[in-house]
Amino acid sequence: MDRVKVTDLNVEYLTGGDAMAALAGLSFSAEPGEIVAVIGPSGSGKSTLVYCLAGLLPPTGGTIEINGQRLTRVRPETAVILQDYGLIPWKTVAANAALGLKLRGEPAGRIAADTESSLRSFGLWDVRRHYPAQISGGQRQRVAIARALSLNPSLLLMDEPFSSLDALTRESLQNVFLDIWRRDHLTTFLVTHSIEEAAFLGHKIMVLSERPARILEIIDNPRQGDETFRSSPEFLQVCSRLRQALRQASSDVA
Amino acid sequence: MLRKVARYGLAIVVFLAVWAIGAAVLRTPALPDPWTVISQPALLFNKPMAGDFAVSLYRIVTAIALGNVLALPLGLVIGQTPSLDRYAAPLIFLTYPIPKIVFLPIFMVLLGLGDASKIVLIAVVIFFQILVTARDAARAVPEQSIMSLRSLGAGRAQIYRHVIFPASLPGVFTALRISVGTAIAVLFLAESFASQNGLGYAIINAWSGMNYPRMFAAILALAVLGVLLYEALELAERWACPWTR
Repeated sequence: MDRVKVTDLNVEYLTGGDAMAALAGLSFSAEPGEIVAVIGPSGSGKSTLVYCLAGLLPPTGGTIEINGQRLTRVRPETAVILQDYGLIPWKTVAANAALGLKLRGEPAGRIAADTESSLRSFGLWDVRRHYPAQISGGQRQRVAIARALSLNPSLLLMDEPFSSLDALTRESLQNVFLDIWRRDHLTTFLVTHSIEEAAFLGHKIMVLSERPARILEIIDNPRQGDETFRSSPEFLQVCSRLRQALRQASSDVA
Repeated sequence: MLRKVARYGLAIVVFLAVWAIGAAVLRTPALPDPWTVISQPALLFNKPMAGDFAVSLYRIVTAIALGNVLALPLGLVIGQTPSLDRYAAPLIFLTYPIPKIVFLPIFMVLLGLGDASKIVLIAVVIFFQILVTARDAARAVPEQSIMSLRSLGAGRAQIYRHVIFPASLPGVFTALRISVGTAIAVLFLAESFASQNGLGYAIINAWSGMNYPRMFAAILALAVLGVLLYEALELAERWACPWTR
């Protein structure tokens, strides 16, 4: 699994000739198999960070190293799940799930076999001929996860994957993710605006400031992923510490 | 399907009723009553009419295909390439509102009086409708959709094929439906000048011979041509955009 090391990451956007900083000097790392939750005020550049880690957006300054290799473009071992637009509306569930393999030019027989077993294991086989608009939010996010995992990634990047779901669906998908993580130990970056989600899933929780994003705090969270942790006093402690850090993040600017 | 036939039946009844009332009120040979026209099968179904119908159908279908083949890729690329769009957009907005019929004399000089000048004229009309629509559709594709595909390793051509082109299709079909009406009007005009065939020619020819029943038979044929095109577009859209159903 991948080791990620980010040093002094800077991103500036050009908007009408003016440079707008989105990320200002982020340095952090993730050990192989670690889940890093990234939390921050909305519009703080969390998605920009995901694009950079995916190799989709070249940073203005700083470096991203994955397993000691400097990242310069999209790499096949990284899977990305975006919040709302991950699925293609004009492709069926099966075609969406198979898309990564198809783009890679895998043989049709292998794509069909892999996709069938993945759709079955995610409980999506019965809706395989439906379009994304015809299935529930939870099912859509399962398709996105199935597609991401179809490429056997060693690094998983998720941008608010569960935020548009209702509370129960969100918890069940968090558990789906944890099951996968326990099996594959993917190094994972999970961007979220939910304090509870960050506290439940992240081994490390990185708190970002308002734009331009700086790292305010990195909190270690060794008991993550334990179902009993969710209802323990320590969980509430982590949450209240995060809440405080986030409040500071917004008041810094205000 | 049966329901659709029934609805067309109803539409035809209403159409004929309005026509009959108009004819009864105006009492002029220039507007014969519908019975005079439809009671004479020889008026509608004859060899010259079939020939004119086929020629007009060929011209308009070829023009629609030509306009789309040229405008769709160009519009999508312009919409997806801001550096190109900066220069192309003013040019499009400058030329889009010009009534394309004014180019008919030029096309006649360049391409002669046959099919080519008429097809090119209609194709130009379609071209601009589709160009504008495709450009807007390509600009409206969410950045995230493209990023998501790139993260799966898609190259530029694959992004166009899987995201940008399909994203434009529903809009393109709407634009086509709107432009079919304009295209038929332009076809009529093009066929009414210095022409020897086509439904436009048939209408004008019957008119100048003051053969009004024959003129209205040709007008009916033009209406049938329109219905055929609309229904073909409907079928094509259902086939090409199953996710919108």
